[in-house]
Amino acid sequence: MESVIRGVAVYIFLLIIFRVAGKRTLSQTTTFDLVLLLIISETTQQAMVDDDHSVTNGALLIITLVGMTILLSVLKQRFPKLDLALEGAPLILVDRGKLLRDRMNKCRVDESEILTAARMTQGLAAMDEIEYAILERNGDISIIPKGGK
Amino acid sequence: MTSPHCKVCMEQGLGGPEMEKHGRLEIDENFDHHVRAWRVKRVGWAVMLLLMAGALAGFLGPGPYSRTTARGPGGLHLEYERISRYNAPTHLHLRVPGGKEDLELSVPAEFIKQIDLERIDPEPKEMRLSGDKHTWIFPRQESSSEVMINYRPHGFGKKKIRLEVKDAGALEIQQFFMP
Repeated sequence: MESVIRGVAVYIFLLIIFRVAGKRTLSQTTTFDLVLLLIISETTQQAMVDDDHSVTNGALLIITLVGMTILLSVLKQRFPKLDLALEGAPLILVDRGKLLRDRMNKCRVDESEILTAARMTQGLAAMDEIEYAILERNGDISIIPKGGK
Repeated sequence: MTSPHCKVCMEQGLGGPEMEKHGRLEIDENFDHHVRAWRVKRVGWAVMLLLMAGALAGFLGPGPYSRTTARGPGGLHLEYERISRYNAPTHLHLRVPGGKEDLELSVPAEFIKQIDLERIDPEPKEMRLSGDKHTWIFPRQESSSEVMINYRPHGFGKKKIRLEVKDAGALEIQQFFMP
């Protein structure tokens, strides 16, 4: 019983923490964020498994975590507001060539990150080639170049 | 400018988020949601900061607030942690005045069931279980005697512990174990 309770508690806690931390925390793969994810996974494992290293406990935890994922995906489909709360929505950061600095500050995204996304995804060289930049739900920045389809 | 749903969804009778038009961009931005989410995030960060401060101060486990002492009749002195955590190491450090007879320390059997006893210093020369009490007997020093009980609690919540020392009195303390 305890394994299931621990699994559910840790799953919900991580869900809340990563929503509060913000989209960019999940999407970036700098060294800093990689170290953070490694440490979190190690801490999470200890909190869930405790002293019980049996195959049964491991299987129960995996079933609990997968079950939580399935349950949440069903609930998100039934309740669009829950989907919005858990996954968020895309946010325009550059609108028709204009940088929306307030929004960028709120999301902790700066101009260089937008330009990096523009170079990596569209091969664009400068800000004036960007028509729209959108911070997607998964934390990636998508770029729509000017005059593009 | 908003359109109820995307054209394709409307044609196929599907539901979905409301699409907004920004120039030629069609997107389900929902800016009100973002404003609410930023507010919630700020509250979340404040809560995280409070939890960290609370932990440092000892409100969520070992720390300055958690460490405390209890004094009892007959010169009993106990150092312990009033807040600990499930399966985390904690201790009871008891000091009693010296004497000639052996030191007999009793705790409720219920308390022993709720913990994993790791170590007792010094090692008791005898252990007795009678009724609802668990008694350890230690050789006593002439000046003063000290006993350190190291253990890890099972379960969580408020627990009361009564320590009785023969011919010296009793001490009742309360501990809270975080999950």
